[in-house]
Amino acid sequence: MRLLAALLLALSLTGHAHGQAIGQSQSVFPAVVANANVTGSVASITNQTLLASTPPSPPSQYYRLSVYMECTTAGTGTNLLTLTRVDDILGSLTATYIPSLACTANNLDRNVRTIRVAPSSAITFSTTYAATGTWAIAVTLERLY
Amino acid sequence: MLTRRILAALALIAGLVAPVHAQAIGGGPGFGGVIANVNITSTSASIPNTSLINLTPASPAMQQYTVSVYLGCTVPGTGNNQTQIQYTDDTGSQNALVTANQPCGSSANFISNVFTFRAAASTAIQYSTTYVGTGTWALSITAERMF
Repeated sequence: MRLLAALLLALSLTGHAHGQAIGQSQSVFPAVVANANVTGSVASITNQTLLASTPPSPPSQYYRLSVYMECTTAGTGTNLLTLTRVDDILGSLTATYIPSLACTANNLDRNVRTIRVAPSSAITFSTTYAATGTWAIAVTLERLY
Repeated sequence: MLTRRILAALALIAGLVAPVHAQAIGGGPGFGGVIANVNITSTSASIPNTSLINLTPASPAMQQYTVSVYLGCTVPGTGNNQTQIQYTDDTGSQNALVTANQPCGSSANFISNVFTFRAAASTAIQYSTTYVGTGTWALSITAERMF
């Protein structure tokens, strides 16, 4: 039994050692600042708030967007995902991050992109749903600076 | 006999579990932090090789980095622009095209990419742009060390 206990302790310490050997940076970025987890989506989603307001400073901020969309129940339709933000130079911009995707069984698409954003502005996402089918959607937003 | 069987089972589990532990390292300050960034709001010329990370740490011998790049046309023109990242990996110096030939036809023309690579110890990581024609651009880059 003692041998068993010693082995279990050794295993435990080994596991932690893997987890501890990561210390390097003290940077607060990247940080996930918003996420969305939608299941059973069967209609368009209109301007869903992802981040109600970016911080008031600095005047130029940088974010990374990770999006995932999967057809969970097949149908005859399509779906696409867009994001609307206020660029720090160009003003309001809407861009497509998952183009039109057919809802065949388990069909999915994903994308990781970055965006510049103005302070004190909202970031929202929308989907454009057509015909039939059920979708799962996941979105995360990380601030990079 | 029972103890031996338990020990053998635990040894097997340890072997199977070890790779999972190696992946589950997230949480708290550590790798994954942004260690360098670039924020250019107006550029209208090529940017030659410019330091992003002057020198990677002296160890371990090979490291992994993720670079997130955004290039946006802010004043339309006739030209295009692209970004490259220079680094040194297992096989030597690399010059990777991260965003390619983005036209500056309108101020809605922007492109971004997230690019990961291995970099050797004590080597430089740089970025550059290749500008053609006319137009004004904004450029954002961050670098994160992953291990």
